[in-house]
Amino acid sequence: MSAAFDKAIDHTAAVKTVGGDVGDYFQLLKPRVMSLVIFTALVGIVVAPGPIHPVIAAASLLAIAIGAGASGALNMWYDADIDAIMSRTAKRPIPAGRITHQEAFSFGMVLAAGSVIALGIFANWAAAGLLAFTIFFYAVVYSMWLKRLTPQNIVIGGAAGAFPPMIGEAVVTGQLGWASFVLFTIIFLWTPPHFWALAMVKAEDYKRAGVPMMPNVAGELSTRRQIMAYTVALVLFAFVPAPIGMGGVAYVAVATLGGAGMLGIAWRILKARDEAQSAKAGMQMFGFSILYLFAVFSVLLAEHSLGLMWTLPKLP
Amino acid sequence: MSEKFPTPPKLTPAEERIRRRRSMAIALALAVLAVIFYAVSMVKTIR
Repeated sequence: MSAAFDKAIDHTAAVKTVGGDVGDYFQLLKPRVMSLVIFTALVGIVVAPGPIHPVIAAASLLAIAIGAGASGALNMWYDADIDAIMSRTAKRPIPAGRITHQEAFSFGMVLAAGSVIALGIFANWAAAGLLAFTIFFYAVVYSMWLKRLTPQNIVIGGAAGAFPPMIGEAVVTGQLGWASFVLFTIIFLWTPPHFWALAMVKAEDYKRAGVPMMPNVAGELSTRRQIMAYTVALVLFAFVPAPIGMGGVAYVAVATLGGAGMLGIAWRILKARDEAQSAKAGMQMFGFSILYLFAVFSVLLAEHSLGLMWTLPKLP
Repeated sequence: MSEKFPTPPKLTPAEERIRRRRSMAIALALAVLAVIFYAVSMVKTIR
């Protein structure tokens, strides 16, 4: 063995720390985000025109989920410094000292490469390419570039969370179509009200960490107005699946009820008289928006997969 | 050779447990992956 090799590899270092527990690595994958990705990608697969074998669909979903987990691990690797400052994220494995930066980076890169290659083999290379782009968009464009640069970080970066239905459609057809573009736009418009509501409540946290979230940069009033604007756009756009034959009567009913709820909470945020009211409405928006997205996508899933579709007259 | 690779420090029971759990998780993940690759290959061959 050469001296250079011995210098480069500290043989005792590997056993000085045993690394994180399985649960810590699982936490690096951001399991809650991962579950949303699996669900929206599944809807993308189901609404895509054309058949797919269930085994291929399940294997592809697993690859997409692992890709999403890789993005989460790379995000936690890069953001460990600000995670340590914010109360919401201080207990994550890296700031808590249970996993090192290098372990998280290696874990994320291995999963990213593995998930893209696996999806290429399981489904097709168009879907794999889109998954690779999504991981790149979340880890590099959002985490490394936009997050610390602009209050529009989650607006543009939110696209990363909106890609999974497109990957789902690409898994089935090998290309992109209108169905997944509509789903992409729904998630894209949903992201700002969802995250700005949280940012209003956790404004001090973000301020201490130096993350330029909208409430800290443009002020709370401007953020409230923008939440309302995006909510109106979301609620209106959410009706698009009906006239193009993607959503049926049940979908319209859920989109109407859910949309009314979203608008009601956005109105409460806009008209909040003090900080306590604003924080309460902000948390309501954060929670209800998850329910809204889940309900809207669930009904699409049910209509397409269980044959419950009762469509409205299609546009010519 | 043994001088260049010193005896690793003894792990505590908790550290041993963590390492064992992680090894088992890696083994399980690899096994699941092998099954999935096999299933996908079968489906693609049959179609």
